[in-house]
Amino acid sequence: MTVSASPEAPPVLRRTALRHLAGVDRLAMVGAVLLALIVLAALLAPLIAPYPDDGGSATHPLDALLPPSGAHWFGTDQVGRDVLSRVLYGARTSLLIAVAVLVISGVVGVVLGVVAGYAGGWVRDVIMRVTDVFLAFPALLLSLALAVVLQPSVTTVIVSIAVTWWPWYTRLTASVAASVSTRGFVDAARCLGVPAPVIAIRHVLPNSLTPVLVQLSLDGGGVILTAAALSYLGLGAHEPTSEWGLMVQQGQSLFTTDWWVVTFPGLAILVTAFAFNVLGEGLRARLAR
Amino acid sequence: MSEPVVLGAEAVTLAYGSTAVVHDVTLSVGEGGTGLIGESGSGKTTLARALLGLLRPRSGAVRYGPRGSDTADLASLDRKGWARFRGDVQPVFQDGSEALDPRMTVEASIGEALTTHHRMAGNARRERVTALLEDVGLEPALASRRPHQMSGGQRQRVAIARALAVEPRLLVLDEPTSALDVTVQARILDLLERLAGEHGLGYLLITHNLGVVDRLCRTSHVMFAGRVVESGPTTELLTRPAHPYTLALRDAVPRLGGEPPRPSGRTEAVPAETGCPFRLRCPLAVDACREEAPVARDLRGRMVACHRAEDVLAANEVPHAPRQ
Amino acid sequence: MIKIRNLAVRIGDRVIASVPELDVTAGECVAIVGESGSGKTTTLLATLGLVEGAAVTGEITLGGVDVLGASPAELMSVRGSRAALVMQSPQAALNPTMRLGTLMRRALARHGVKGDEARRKAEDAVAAVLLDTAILRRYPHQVSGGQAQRFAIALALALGAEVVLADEPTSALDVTVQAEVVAVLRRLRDERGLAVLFVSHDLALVSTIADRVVVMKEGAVVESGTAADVFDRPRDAYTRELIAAVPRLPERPAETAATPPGEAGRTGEEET
Repeated sequence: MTVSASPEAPPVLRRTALRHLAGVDRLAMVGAVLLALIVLAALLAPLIAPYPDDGGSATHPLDALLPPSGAHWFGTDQVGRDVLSRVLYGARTSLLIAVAVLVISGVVGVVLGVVAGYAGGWVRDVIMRVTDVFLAFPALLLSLALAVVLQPSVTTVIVSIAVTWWPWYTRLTASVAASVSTRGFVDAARCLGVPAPVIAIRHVLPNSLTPVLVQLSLDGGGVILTAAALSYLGLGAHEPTSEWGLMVQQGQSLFTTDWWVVTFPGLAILVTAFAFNVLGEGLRARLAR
Repeated sequence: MSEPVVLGAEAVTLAYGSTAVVHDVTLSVGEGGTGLIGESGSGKTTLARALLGLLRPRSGAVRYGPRGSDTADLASLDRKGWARFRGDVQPVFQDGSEALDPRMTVEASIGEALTTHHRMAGNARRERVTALLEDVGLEPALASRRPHQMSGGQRQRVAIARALAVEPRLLVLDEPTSALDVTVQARILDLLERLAGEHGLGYLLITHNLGVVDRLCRTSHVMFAGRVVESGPTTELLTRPAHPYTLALRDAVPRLGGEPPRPSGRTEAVPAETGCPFRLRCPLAVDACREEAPVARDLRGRMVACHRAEDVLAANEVPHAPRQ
Repeated sequence: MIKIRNLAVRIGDRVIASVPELDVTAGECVAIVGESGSGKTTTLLATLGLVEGAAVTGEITLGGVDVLGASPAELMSVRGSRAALVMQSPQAALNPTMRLGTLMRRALARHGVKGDEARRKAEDAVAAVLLDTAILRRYPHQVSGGQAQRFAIALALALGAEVVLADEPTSALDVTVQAEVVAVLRRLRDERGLAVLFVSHDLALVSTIADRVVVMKEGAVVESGTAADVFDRPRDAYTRELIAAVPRLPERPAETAATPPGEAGRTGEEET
């Protein structure tokens, strides 16, 4: 038989639960530390990159395709730019895209979700039908279509990903907000005569936020992968911007001969996506208690 | 201190989707305490939501207004009318941890009521919060706590303080003590009794605990399957029940040092769709109960909806040896 | 069936439950009464060897097994057969995808009981808790809280439980349903010699089933004795406070018949 959580059991049982969670928490810590390092690298790129100019349009044809060495830890690319410097500058682009997409789609998603969840009725129906329309298309396909129509640029990548991602946050927030709206403190506020928009902002929103925040952190990796995919297909960032997906695309044909050109930006994508994912999983496990 | 108000249900039917959970209920709450007794699924909490204006009746009306004058249908109230209603009628829910926003401090929760109804802010608001906390027997220092930093009894006191902050005339108390330990429960009941006297409050007390009703309510209504099956003076209902369901409820209550409670049997039977809803659980059911739903009628000072009420009463007239 | 000596459960330096002596013999119901945080549930969990993350010292014997010295396998076997836990909400512990009959058959099969004998045992146990055997064809969500609670007791009986540890088994139930569950436990105690350790905060309820009572407060036993002694002649102030806090119903009509209705029984009660 299992043990139910009776009111006085927690002091004993919760500590056990904590011990089970310690492993998950450690992993989340790894994610947080990794992400902090990546953010730091992005912020300090101009200071720590060995060849700051190589992050942009500089070229050194004579140094093309040098293998990793003391002077170029990650080697150099086809036009002789230091791959390490470009990976560091690429972090700026990738994180900018990730943060912009998550903020835009998160804000739109949460606002519409809280409105749908708290108002219910036809308001909810309308918002949910709109999200259905967006969710009916495969996300990457829709992003691709948009990116084709717009000019290839970092902004294009941000817009085309954000457009396809907000409905997920709307649906998630709406379902949480709907259940928060049935709780006693919302009824109590309604009985006090607090106006509906104030209730939505003051009580429903803050109490519906946690799962979305977890989802956002889980999705950071996904955004970076999608952005890399768009750039890889030539629909996003273009030369001379440093962007990991673009670097992978440019380097892939050289993989058998000059492996470092494609490998290091590829690893950067992998590590960042991984960091977001473990952090998100850790947060989820922590908040699920 | 203020003129009394009356809140009532008039032939109210309530439904979630196509399922009616309250059928044609009429009752009114004024001065003093009124009890609404029933088990889970009886529709008592749904009825309370309607009386609080949180749920619109499928048919019938929730009426409210000053005693002795015309009451108004809640559905017809304008903005000003709603504001007055919200200032007059306040709820206290079962579980303080549910009823208080987990992210808000005590001061913010009570303060919200003060700001909404009295446009209070700053120092005036802080002083009033302190006074209210003292009124419900809490340390003013608790003002900076959040719900999870307090005990169940403290949370319930905060919920009561918030209700009192708007200076209401009627409280709707939905199982206000059932989540609490007995000693805490007793203290909360003391508090409610004192506050009702001091503030001249009327209240509707919704509970399944007969002992609590007897202590606080002069009049009571017993609900079964969304219908009021018996109503009248509380002491009468508990000492001389005329409805077999009231009798079953009373006999199931464990008494300190008394005989073991008497199980009435067949508690799992679902309410009947036709005839008397209680008949499948009723030990006295006869053919008439299957054929015709009993209508509430006046019998010896109470209203009762049972074909066999006279027999239930007669069986109870036999004096029992007083219990120790 | 249960023997506890000098039990102490500690988290760090804090003692969350300390019980010097507690025995439950066959055909007896002992109740632990207290409020949240009194240590009553911890004591029950310790008896089953289910306390983790805290240091448990002393001596606990459950169905002949030394709980603190036993291997996990021995503990599992005593919990699965001779001793059973009945919780506040049993539905949560029943696999929702299985009919109750299947659930019971599998549990019996694990104990080597199969075929006709298993069916007979299952039907006997269900009848012993006053349920219709039709319930064996239902899924957990198709039964009420009271039925699920009685089924949990039936399951324990079928597996040969001699002692039942019940943790607030009726506090989620309506009063009429509670009366049925308590009646079932009383009957099993009287007719089958079941030993019951009953944990509850409801003094009135406890007074209707317990032979002996242990009152706990803040982790310590403040009073224990026969039910009659504790309820009629409480020695500890806290016990008296608990007794005073029990809401009372008005007395039966005999002596109040002359008083006008509405006033009867009311004034007298408020002074108690």
